[in-house]
Order: sequence, then C-alpha cells, then structure tokens
Amino acid sequence: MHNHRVNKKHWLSLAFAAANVTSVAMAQAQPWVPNNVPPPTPTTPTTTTNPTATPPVPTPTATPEAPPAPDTTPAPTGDIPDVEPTTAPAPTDPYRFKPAKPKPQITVDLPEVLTTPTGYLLPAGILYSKSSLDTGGGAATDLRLGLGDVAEFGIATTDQVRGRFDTNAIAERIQPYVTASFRLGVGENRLFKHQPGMTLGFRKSFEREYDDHATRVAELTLVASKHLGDRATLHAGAAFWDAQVRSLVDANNTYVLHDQGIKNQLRAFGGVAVKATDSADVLIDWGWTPEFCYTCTDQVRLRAVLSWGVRYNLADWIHIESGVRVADIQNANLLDAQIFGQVTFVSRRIRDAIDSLRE
Amino acid sequence: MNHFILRSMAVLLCLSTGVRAARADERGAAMQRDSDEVITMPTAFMLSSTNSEYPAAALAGRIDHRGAASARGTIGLGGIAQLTFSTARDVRVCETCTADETLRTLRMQQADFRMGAPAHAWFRGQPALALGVRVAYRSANSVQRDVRAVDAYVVASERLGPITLHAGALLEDFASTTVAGRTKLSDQGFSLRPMVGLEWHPAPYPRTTLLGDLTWVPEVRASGITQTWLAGWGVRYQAARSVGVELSVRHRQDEGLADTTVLVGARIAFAPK
Repeated sequence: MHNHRVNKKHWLSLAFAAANVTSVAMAQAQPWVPNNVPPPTPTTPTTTTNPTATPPVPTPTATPEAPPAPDTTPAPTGDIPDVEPTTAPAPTDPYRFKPAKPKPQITVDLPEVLTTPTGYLLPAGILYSKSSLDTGGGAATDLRLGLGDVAEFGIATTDQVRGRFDTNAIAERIQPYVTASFRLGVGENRLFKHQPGMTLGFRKSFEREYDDHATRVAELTLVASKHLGDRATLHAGAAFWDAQVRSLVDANNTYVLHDQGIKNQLRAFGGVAVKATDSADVLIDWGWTPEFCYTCTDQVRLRAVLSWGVRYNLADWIHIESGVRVADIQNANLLDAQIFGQVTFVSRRIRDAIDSLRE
Repeated sequence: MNHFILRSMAVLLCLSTGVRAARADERGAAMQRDSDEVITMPTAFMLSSTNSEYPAAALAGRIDHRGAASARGTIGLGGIAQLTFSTARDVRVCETCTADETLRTLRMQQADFRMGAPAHAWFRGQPALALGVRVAYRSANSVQRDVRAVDAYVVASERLGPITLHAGALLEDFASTTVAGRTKLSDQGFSLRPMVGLEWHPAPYPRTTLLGDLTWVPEVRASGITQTWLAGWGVRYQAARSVGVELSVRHRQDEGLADTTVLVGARIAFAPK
C-alpha cells in the first residue's frame, strides 16, 4: 500500500515535470504575453542627456520578421514615466491558418448549344470537357481550354460525319473523327452596350481513312450570341465548310467541296436556349454536317441536323444533357433520329493555379 | 457496339440511382401516383426532384406469363425532361408467317427521351404536356433481322378528381433489314395514330390505381409491316412509399382471348430532397 502511494506520487511528479518541460518549450517557442499587461513597446536605443540614468535596454520585438518601428517618444530619464507606454501591433503567428480568399464568381457560358457553337468563349483558364453517347452507337468527346478571355483551343472527336457507298446505301458514321479547333472573339457587352458575344472559329479534322477512302473536313464559323432577358439566349451564325474525299484505290479520284462553289459551302445555323427552371435549360439548335457518298456525282454534301434537348445543371461544374438529334432533317427521316446523353464538366483548377502563382 | 453503349448507360444509371436510394422520401408516393407510363402508353408526367443536385430516378421491371422479362430505368432531368433506357417486347415478328410459325415478340433495346411542361406551368388549367421520341433497335444476328423502330409522340395528361386522363398522338416508323432488303413502314406513308389512357384512384382505396390504355405497335409479317393496336388494363398498388407493384393484362389486335398476356411488375422511384 505504501509502495503504491510512493509510486503514485512518483508518477505524478514525473507527469508534472513533463508538463513543465513542455510548457517551457512552448514558451520558448512563443513568448508569453500576459493579458492584463500591455505588450512591450519596441524602442530603439537612444542617447540621453542625464548621465546618471541607466541606459535603456533594447527590448526584443514580438515578431522577429518585422523590424521594430522607430519610437518618437522621449527616452526614459530614470524616473518612472507617468505616460502609458505606446501599444504595439499584436504578435502574429506566421503559421496561423489563413482562410482562403473567396474566389471571384465566374459566369461560364458554354461554347456549344447542343451541337452548334455559340458566340461565347470559355473564360481564361477554364477547362471544359464533354462526353456523349447516342443510340446509334455514336461516341464523341470534346476538350477545350479558355485562353485569356479572348480565345479558346480544343481537340475533339465527333461522330456526326457520315459516309455511304452510293445513294441507295444507308449512311454510316465515320468515327472517331478527330478535330482540332481554335476560336477567338469578344464577350458580350465588351465593346459597347448590347453588343452580342461574337466568336470566329476554325475547326479542322485530321485525315481519316475509312472504306478505302481518305476524308477530311474543315469549318470556319462566325457566331453571335445574345442574352434576351434573364431566361433566353439566342445564337446565330454562318459556317463556311470545306471537305475532301480521296480514293485510296484510284489516285486520280479526289473530290473537294470548294470546287462546287461558295453556295455549296456556306450555311446558316443557330440555336435557342431557354432557362425553363432554375436548374434546367431547354435547348434547340440547327446545324450542318458533311456527308460523303463515294460513288455519287456529288461526293460531299452538307446535311442539316436538328437537335433539341435539356441541359440539367447539377452544379456549376457538372451538367447532364440529353435530347434528340435528327441527322438529315431535310428528308424528314424519323429513322435517323438518335437519342443522346452527354455529360459536361467545367473545371477552374487551372485558373485557380494560375491565380495562386500570381499571388 | 449498341449493346455495349446501352449496357454502359444502364450500369451508370443504376449506380447513380443506387447511391441515392437511401434518400428516397415521401415524394416517391406522389411519383407512384403520377407514373410516367400507364401500362404501355407514355404519360406527360415527368420524374422530378426537389433537390436540383440529385436527379430523380426510377427502376421498373416486368415479366409476363410466358417468362418474357423487361426492365426500364429512368432518370429525371430537372422536372422538365426525362431519359429512359429499357428493353421493350412490344414488337412482334414472323418470318414465314405460316400456320407452323406464330408471331413472336422481339426483344429490343429502347431509349426514350421526353420533355414537356408540368400541369399549370404556362397557364391556369393547362394539362401536363410532353413531347417524346423513342428509339428502339435490335442488331441482326445469324438468324434474325436488323430492326429499328422510332416513334415521336405528344401526350397530354390531366387530373380530374379521382381520374387521370391521358391522350396523345403517335407518329411511328419502323425498318426491318434482312439479306433480302430493307422494308420500312414509312414506305406506305406516315400515319398518325391516337393513344389514350386512364387512371382511376378510387377514394376508398388510396393506395390502389386502376389502369387502362390503348396504343399502337408495329408488327412484321411476310406481307409487310403493319401497325396494330395494343390495349391493356390492370391495377397498380402502392406497396410502400417508393415502391409500386402492378398486375396487368394486354390484348393485341387479331388475337384471341386465350392469347392474352398477363404481366406482373414492380417499380421503385427515388426522389431526393
């Protein structure tokens, strides 16, 4: 029993000593400042006119990184000064947690309605990606990056280019069809009031070999987009197309669209977006896509595509889009209709990283 | 490729709905009452969620007395649209159509996109309205044909006391491709067909709904493709807040009473709040 008491006292004393050591170590690391005593005034050694006075001792500053501010008060003369010492800035911990600065709100108007481009560019450093599937077995992806609020670069695979052997055959998709795009423009209301957002874009495909033919397409677009009130947005533009189909079997068989004249290359397109609810937009657009026919007289033709659907805004960074796309709407062929679903991600990580580097 | 894409979509849909299954609440009960389908006919009611961060969803399955099963998964898009993936067994086909060969149902993959306006969204007294497109397809294998069915429809749904009425129009096209060639329903010209549906919620049985509908489906015979009517009636019982079970009977044109199909099914609706 006695030994037990001794041991208990022994452990208590050890714990007390350990607590003391810890508290000292903490005190050394960070000087203790009593609450009811004003913090020490940073003073600089100054000369005095009283030879009997004890020379003032320089006081270490609470913040080692900040140099002490020069004190303009008269030097002590040996007597207790009846003026209160001047207050110094409270010591700050350099390792203190700093709350993140609130990020500025950025409105991102997406660069596509459903299939056609808009007159809006991605803001600087905003990364955009879209992945889609449809009931015809089509798969497409799109990846874009906003450049300095005035341009945008992207690379994509599209499933909209189609080819057929002759007029009686059913057109089949040529996919994946890889394209690169570059767009530049000005934002809405940037130059003058009521100015629509405008973009000039160029999209060009890599050459694609399929069914003994090599094909490629290019598209130059000029689009204007304007918000009409809080809930509607109108998009309208013109596209200048070119395309080439080259036989891999017959070297002399090459067909280019620009030989057929401008009227076969120039097309108007557009779209409408209406904010039906706070979280969903109704979208309709009308665009064009080239179709190859390898043995026809006109081996390249532009076909109209009508799309309609809904964009469901789950969050600022993710949107789900679904709808119907009817290729070759001019022929009113219901069997060409495809139901598609696509997911769009908008990331501002790159923008945040750039902003943090600037700070 | 089509199978792979459809299955991928179905897996993604199941994952997304499964994660949110625990959040199902009493809105599921209302969703059972306002179903997006009577028996075969689509309605103008959409799945909706009060929480915009999580979409509403529903899973349903059916099996008939011949053992033919079908399933469907639906995801709501902001209360104004919905996307459904399903296996459909409505189309019937025969190759030679002789006395030895009876018509058999064809299992097809189907996607259905529907968008519209809820009741009273545009003006007072406006019924719920929907415009939809259904795409169904089946790729050819060694013995069967490559078929594709696409239909566009408009439908209006209105609650009148204990009764909910549905009325709409259906524009359908169907293509069947074999080694002999391609046959299309639209070769005979487009035909617009009406479809109607009725749901009765009897006051003494608040969990029970009596159902009836009439719609049209394609039928492929040796003579060509025709559209035949398909009528159904049955009962839906709300077994739990989010779970409904259904027993229904379907009759087809040119079919005797003995050939009537009996179906049993269940439906689970998730509506996060």
